[in-house]
Amino acid sequence: MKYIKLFLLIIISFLGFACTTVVERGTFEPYPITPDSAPKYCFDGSPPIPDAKPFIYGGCDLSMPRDDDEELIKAYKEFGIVWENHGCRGGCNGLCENGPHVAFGGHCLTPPTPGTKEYDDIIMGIGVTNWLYNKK
Amino acid sequence: MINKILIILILFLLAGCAAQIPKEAEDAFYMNDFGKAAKLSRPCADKLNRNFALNNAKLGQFYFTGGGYDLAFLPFLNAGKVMERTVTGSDNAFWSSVSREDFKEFKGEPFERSMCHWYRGIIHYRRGDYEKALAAFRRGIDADKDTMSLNKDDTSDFSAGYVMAARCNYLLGEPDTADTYIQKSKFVNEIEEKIDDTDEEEVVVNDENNDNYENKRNGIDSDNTIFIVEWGDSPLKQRENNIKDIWSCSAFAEYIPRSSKIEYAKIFVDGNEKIQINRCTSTFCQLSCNTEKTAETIQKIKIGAKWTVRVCAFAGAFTGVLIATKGNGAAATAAGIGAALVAGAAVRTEADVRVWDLLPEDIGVGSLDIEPGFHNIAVCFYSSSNAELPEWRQVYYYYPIKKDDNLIYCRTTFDHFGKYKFETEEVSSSIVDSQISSRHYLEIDPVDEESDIRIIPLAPAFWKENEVDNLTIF
Repeated sequence: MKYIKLFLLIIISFLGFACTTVVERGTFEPYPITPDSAPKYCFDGSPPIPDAKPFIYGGCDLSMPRDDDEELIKAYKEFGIVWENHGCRGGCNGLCENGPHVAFGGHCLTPPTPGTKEYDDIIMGIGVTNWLYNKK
Repeated sequence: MINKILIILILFLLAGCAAQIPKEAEDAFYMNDFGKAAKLSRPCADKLNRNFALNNAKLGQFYFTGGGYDLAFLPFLNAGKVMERTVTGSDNAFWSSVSREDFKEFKGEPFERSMCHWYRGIIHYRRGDYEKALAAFRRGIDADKDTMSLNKDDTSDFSAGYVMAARCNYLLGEPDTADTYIQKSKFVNEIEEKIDDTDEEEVVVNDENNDNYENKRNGIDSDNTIFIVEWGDSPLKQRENNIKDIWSCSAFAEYIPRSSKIEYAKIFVDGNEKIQINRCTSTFCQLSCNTEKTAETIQKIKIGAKWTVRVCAFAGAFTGVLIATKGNGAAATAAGIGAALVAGAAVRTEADVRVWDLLPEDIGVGSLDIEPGFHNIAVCFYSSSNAELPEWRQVYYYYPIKKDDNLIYCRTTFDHFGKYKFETEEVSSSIVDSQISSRHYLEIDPVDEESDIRIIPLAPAFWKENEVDNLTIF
């Protein structure tokens, strides 16, 4: 009886190998160590893009409004957007209660922290949708 | 009488129900979804219970790794305060001494305390507050002073802390103190060769007794950019031999290393290889300490005490029921035995296996002088056979380098091949795919013939209680 069980175990194991479903995962293609395109969006502290229009007007400038730019401040505040010293304490990288960053559909315009995924993705335009402009 | 017993039992159960950070939050952390991780763990971290320090340390780490440095500060401060306290109000000393060790307030092992101060120091440093940063780094070093690896009475082996303390001292204009830290750190011994474009800047330090500190500074005093690179996962903690039976004597805990393949990292600036960063501090090595034997002795005494209490509880309950029922008949004896078993089981000897398991395995620190401006920085990781591990590569495009001082922090959070390889196929696939699509990886072709990872169920479960084994082949 013992040997029959052992024999069955071997047979079933063998069948198990034969019937295996191989899950293909794909190769990993790491990001190149230098970018393959110029910055697509800009914000405070990132490389500037000349003549960029503010994000809320359909442009690619995600900088925080200057204190004297009342029109832009009003436009952002209409949508409940906050930024450093204007409803947000800063240094949050979109992790505050108003987050994520406006570029990713949130309500925080505080610039992302360098060296983070958010910083890279916004600059390269990965996952960025202008929901503010579309809503207008 | 029965009511009193019930109340005691309910209190006993309540004492064991202090919430910890949910697993979903930790999974989100490993998938680099720091917003979700923080959101899920915030309510838990706000609660004042015996896991307050552990929960806050983890919450702080979610914010910190996600780049929300200012948000991370308060949780780390909270955690640090509890870890450093010697007397606490919510310390369930009685319950932890007669029952499970984790009924007491979590205060962490020395390496966990060090890391809490370490992250707080980095936050101060990034703010430009070098004095507070220095204080935090020094507290991190002090928290680890009982380590045995250096075999010196007052010396910690938290060498990453020494390097950063030295850096702060240099920036504060105190090079003599800084040199002492450099001397204490193992940094110069481990990073013997600095890779650079020019031979002039190449620094090789081999002589440990060389008093010329300028050679040993390795650019920590003068370079404008510090790199802190963390990789791998810190050890897990489990009851000795993974004993879960409540009757077993499992008062000892053991640490299970989760070694990654990563041996060292290299920094590339604008496509050029600049510096190699080796292991400076290992959390697993930090676990060794001089007080280990003392702790073991104390633990043995505690086990003896617990078994004494257990036997007393057993005998007391048995006698109590017999007296209450006046020893009439077999039913009374059975009730006595039942009560004794319950009382005996309530007195448990389980070890405390709470651990801050989101920490890195290794920390490397390096420095480099980079021209101010925007640079493309890549951190590439290598195995012991000097092969690059591309799945870990981190790139930071258009990183703004300032003239005076920069600190670039890098952590590999997601362990593609370690943590999740034994998960079910569906979970693994979705996690890996999600990670790949969201973090630093480009195209994935699911039917690519050159696929190098496969999960193969080796054999179906022959006996029902056995899970299907998974084998990952690279």
